[in-house]
Parts: sequence; C-alpha cells; structure tokens
Amino acid sequence: MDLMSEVWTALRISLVIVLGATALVVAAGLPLAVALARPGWRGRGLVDVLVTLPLALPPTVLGFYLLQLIGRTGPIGWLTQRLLGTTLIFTPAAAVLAAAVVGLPLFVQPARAALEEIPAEVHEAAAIDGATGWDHLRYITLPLAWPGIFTGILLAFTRSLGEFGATLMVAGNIPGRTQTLSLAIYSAVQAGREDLAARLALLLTAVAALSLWAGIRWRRPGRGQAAERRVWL
Amino acid sequence: MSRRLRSRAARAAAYILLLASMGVAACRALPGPSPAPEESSNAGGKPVEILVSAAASLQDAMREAAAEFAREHPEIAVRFNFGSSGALAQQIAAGAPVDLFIAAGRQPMDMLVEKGLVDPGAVHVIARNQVVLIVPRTGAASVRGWQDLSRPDVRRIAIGDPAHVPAGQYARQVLEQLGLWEKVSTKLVLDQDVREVLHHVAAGEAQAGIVYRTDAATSDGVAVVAEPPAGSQPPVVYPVAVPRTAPHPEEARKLAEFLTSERGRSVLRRHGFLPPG
Repeated sequence: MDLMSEVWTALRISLVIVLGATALVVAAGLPLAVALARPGWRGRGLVDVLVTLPLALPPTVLGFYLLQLIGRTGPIGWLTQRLLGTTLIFTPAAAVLAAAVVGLPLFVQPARAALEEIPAEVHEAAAIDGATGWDHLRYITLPLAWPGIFTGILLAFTRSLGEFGATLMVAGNIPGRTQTLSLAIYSAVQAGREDLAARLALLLTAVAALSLWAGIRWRRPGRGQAAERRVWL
Repeated sequence: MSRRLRSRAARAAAYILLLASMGVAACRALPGPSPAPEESSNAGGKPVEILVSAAASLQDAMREAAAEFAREHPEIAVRFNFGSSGALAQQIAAGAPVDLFIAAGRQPMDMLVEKGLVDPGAVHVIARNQVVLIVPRTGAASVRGWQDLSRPDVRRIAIGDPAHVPAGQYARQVLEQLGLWEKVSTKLVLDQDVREVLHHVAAGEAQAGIVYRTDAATSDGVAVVAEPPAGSQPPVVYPVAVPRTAPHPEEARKLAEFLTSERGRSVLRRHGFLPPG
C-alpha cells in the first residue's frame, strides 16, 4: 500500500465507524435522556452514573471492560456467539460499540439538560387540549430540546472521531479493517513513519474542525425555525 | 394507572428489541470494508487470510517479513494487528480470532500459557533485543563508552522514564550494574517513550541516550557506541506461538516456521534484532 491509499483507507473506516456510533448514540441516548430528565423513579441515580462513567474512566480501562463484555465469556459475547457464531472482537461493530460508549455521556448530558428546561405547564396545557404521547414528543419535546440534542450529537460525533484507547482494545488495530485515523496515527508514530503520521494528523484535525464548523453554523439561530424555537425557550 | 404502566413497559421492551435487532443487523452488514475470508476453503484459489497479533515494536520487521513470506506462500494472506503485548494477550484471552501471537517479552505469553490458551511446547523465541548506548551521528561524539557518561562535559542523557517505560527500566539496570546510576542521575532526561529519546539524541539536545538496539536502527540521526556488558541485564525475548483458539493454525504455523528460518532471521537482523541465541 502506498502512503496516500493508507491515509484514505483509514479515513473511510473512521467515517463509517463514527457515523455508526453516532446513530447508535442517538438511538440509545434519546430514551435515556428522556428518562433521566424525568424525576422520581427507582434506579435513576444508578443509570445516571453508568451512562456518565465512561467520561471518568481511562479509555484503556473502558476497553478492558468492553472486552470482557463482548468476549467469549461475556454476556454480549454469549449472545453474538449464539446468533452469529462468533464474538465481535476485531470487527468494525466492536469499534462502533466502543466509540458509542465513550460518546454516549456527551450526548445524554446536554440533551437531558435541555429536556429538563421544558416547563411542565407546556405539557399540561397540551394534555388539556388532548395531545397524545406522540404529539408531546413531536410538537413539544423534540423542538424545544433540539439545541441541546443537537449539541449532544455534535459532541458525540467528534469524540467518537478521536476515540483511540477503547477501540484499540476491542477492535484491534488492523489496517484495512478496523484501523481508524486515530489508530493509524498511533501505528505510524510507533513505527517512526513521521511523514505518514503528520499527514494522518492533519487530516484528522481537518475532518474534526470541518464537522464542528458545519455543526455550529447549522445550529446558529436566525436560520429557519431555529429562531422560533429560541423564542419558545 | 397499571394499564398505563404496562403499556409503557411494553413500549420500552419493543424499543430495546428494535435496538438489539438493529445491532445484529449492523454486525451482519459490517464485516468490514474488506471482509475476512471464511474458513480454510482454498478451492477457489482465494488466499486464506491469517491474523497476526504482534508487538508494536515489531511493525517494520513484520511487514517486511510478511512481504517475503507472501512470495513463497501466495495461498496465505497475512493481516496484522499491532499493539502493546499486554493488550494483545488480553484480546486473545477474551476470544479474539488470532492465528499467531508475537509478544515483546515473556510475560504476556506466559499469561496465555497459564490460561491454557497456548500450549507451552508451542512457544518459540524468534529474536532478542537489548538496550544500547547511542550518540548523535553528527558533530563530534564526545561519548565513546559507558564510562564517558560521568564526565562533566556530558550534561544531558536521555532515557525512557523507568517508572513506566520498559526500555528505561533496562537502562536503569545497566547503569546501576556499571555503578553509574548515582553519578549520572542529575543529568538524566526522563522521556515518555523511546521515540522521544531518539528525537532528543538525534537533535543533539542530549549528548547520549539509551534505547533498544532496534529503535536505534530506525533513526538515521543516531549511532550506537556501546552494548551493555555481558550479564548486566536479562535479554528481552520475542516469543511466538499459535494460540489453541487460532482459526487457521496450519497456515499460521507456516509463517512461524518462516520467521525462524534463515530468511526470516535475516529480515529481523536487518531491523536490529539479535538472533534467539
């Protein structure tokens, strides 16, 4: 493989994994944020701690836990062995899982804070007017909490892009299969291939900066309905 | 109230089921940009792919060895997973489908032998390594041997931080054996990894440094001036083994044999490794 084809391969793998992880974060994180924004149910504190814990743990420790979870003797490993006949170790799916776990708290916390800001009266008024559960979600919860949810998506996306430690443990560092940009940089530095490392680092920085810029620009009030939503808040 | 609760629980259950099925679908759809070939069905002439987990310090040597191996064995395609030996061993213990494991140091391999994942009789040492004394290649080298380190004009000596860098721990052992540790301790620059030591010495910021022989071989900016005296340190060994859980043990054994053959050894020698001895 020549230098640039290694770089593009790593970029492609990174993007596939980050998009998968972001989708997983939203799918799992939105119900979690909604539940956590609601006070007074049993086990809320425990769920809160579990979701936020990845922020505090070093990625290699997190990777070790995940490895036990999806490994041969772990619960997820048991399930995938029965369903797929193999564990997820060294697959891009494992990388998606690792990136999602580290990205999850960054999505859940701002989303949940935005949900908590919604005054109960709005929901009560809607209920009097006969709104269904779906109406609440579609016309009140999502539009009002959107800035927080969007910030969460952006943070989770960019954090997943830089994910390294946990991914290295569960997905390995296999060029052409699970070697993301971050892992490729580690390998290049280890091998003393400074030219390659520099190109990869520049590309990763550019991709991260570009997605942040696009996200922040798109979120700016004054465009479309965003202004209306701000009035509501 | 109880009906509402039940329906909420049902919805939560349905959602979790949906997520789980999405996950399974994703796993099926995502065997990767270049999927691994299935079991050793070599009928179609498609090469059997083996996965080799190797210590990160072996990267260059292994890539080159694999390229030579591919010429002899076009029916086998080698894919690498590079990382720290300890992490690689943990992956194998958790069930990673690794065909060949090459560690830096005995400890990670011993861990797998203890767990029954590697047959103790199947472990072979393919190379050794040792720490050496290096100096900048350019400029007048004032350091020509270990004893020069205590001279006053030698102001900075770069080594890996012995607190967490294995090469730094070996450097300390050698300096202690030579009775130099106390004398040079105020001149030591404790670097975070071997790469930093190489940078500091190549740039002339340190007049000398201590790194693995193989690391010295990767830098044009440094020259090796001394080896440790015999018996002053246990040599670092690189053991190789086919784990019991390897999906393609036959093909993996062929690569292991190649690495211990004369051709394999000459590749390792070119990258600064010592023969298994």
